[in-house]
Amino acid sequence: MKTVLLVDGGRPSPQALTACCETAGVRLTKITPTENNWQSLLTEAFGVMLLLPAWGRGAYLDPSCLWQHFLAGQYPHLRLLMTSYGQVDHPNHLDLLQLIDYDATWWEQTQEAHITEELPYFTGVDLSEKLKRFFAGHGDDSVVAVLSRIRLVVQMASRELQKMQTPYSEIYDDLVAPAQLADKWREWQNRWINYYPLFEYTPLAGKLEQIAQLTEGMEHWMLAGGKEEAPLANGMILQVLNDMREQLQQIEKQYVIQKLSHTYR
Amino acid sequence: MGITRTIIIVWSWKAAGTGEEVWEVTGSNNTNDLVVCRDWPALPNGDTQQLAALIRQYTQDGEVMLFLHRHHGYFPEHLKQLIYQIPEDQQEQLRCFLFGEGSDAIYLTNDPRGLLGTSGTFSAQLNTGGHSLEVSSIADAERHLLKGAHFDYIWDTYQLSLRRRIFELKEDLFNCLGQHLPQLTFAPGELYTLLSRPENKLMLLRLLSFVGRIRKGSEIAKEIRTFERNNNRTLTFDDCGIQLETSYGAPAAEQYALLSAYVLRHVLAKGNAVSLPELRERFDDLLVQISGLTYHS
Repeated sequence: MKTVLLVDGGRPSPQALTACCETAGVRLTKITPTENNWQSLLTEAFGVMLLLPAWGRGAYLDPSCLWQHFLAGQYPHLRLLMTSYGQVDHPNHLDLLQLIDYDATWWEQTQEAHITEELPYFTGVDLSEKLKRFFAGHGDDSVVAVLSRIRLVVQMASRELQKMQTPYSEIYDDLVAPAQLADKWREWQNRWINYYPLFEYTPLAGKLEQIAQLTEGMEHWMLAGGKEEAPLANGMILQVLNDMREQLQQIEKQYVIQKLSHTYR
Repeated sequence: MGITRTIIIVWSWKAAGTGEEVWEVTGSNNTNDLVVCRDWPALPNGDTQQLAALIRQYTQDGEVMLFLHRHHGYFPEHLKQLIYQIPEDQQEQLRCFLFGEGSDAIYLTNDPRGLLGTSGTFSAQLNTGGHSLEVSSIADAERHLLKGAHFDYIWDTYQLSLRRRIFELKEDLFNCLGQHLPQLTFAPGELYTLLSRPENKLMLLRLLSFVGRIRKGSEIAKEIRTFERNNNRTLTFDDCGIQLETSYGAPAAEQYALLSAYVLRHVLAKGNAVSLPELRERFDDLLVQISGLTYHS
């Protein structure tokens, strides 16, 4: 029996879909992309099925482009399968109102991710576009720009404290307090909260979840405006910011930069 | 110079708020944008001439979005009246909305990218994770300037709102009915029985609102507003047909009339059997007549 990993996109998956798949020799296994274990299931899987459009943050969302990119890059022989209540003309799309049409032959004829060139259009917020804005250098949607400003202040303060041995009271008065870290942190949180839940049903959900957990460790320090010396002196704050930056850079490299270069090729 | 975009907001500006003013908008793409604040409660005799004159003043130069606060006594009939007081060649430039009772995107308290704060102002305090955060759409209070990003967000959100609400109604309805697959045909009255179950109550109310069968002030009107507040979503359709006609033309209104009649007779009553592919087809026929995007990415 083939195994297909189902991402239900926050929507109720019809029992009849599971039954239809089983009749064709396909076992649907629901996965939760925010959890860590789903990637280990990919090696044995036939494909990933998305119930589209996904629902999150009060809007319908289209994560298909991010999944296609992920699979084509890392698991090119898996299929990206799409199911919806829409009439969509695509070899990998399964119409929930025509379940009777999808026998074992149909499954065999679906395309592997490295072959699929153009994805069908699904009404919903295009999450690949959202992700680009997430990383854009400026503008109201840029989450990374705000984080970079915070990191710059922390990096300078750390250097002064650890390398120049400047007393923290002086660093705080001259650098940290004027930077209004608490306000910057709230601005970051404000943008982050608007963004990261949108990606709950995408392959990068786990990484974003890790970043969310990292932020908790320094929230208290940030909201207090960076008054406390110890977390800065022991390098904890800069370490967390560096870890966050590294995670974000990995996401950018995998889903934004590579994608752009692919498009321009 | 781009086209003038004006948002007229009839709300409680006078009592404790910023007053009846005209605000400009910052940003190079927003030089012609305006927000006009008026505190005009609906007149007891239903006369909307003063408001219509104000709208005409701005539709001459560009597009207008009118927001009428429900607590000022406005209801869908006012929208219908107003649209027909605008010259026919300018009607396409006007979009009218009722707002209030808490759930709309225009409020900063619901969406930090919104416009309206609390008590007739453009600012509000948000509580996030136990912390208080000041949000405001004002760029420069002295010069009466609002932030371009907030203006654009509200303009775009409401411009898409009708298509989006109909699309979401369709998807949510199929979420609900999809649980009965592979059954594709429902006997007369079967769907109404199904939708009357407590777990489907919200869907039933949304369909009733879509077909214009919820009376203002009724118990079910209050119930659906409560759902809206709790879910932070606009789920109701105030005078959907008239808004479609004026914004998207007669074909959209005709498709709405067909779908609405089908839902009313066969989904919400014991008319004929309902086939899910046919129901989907009718929704698609309507959506195809509503041009433009459903969401901004």
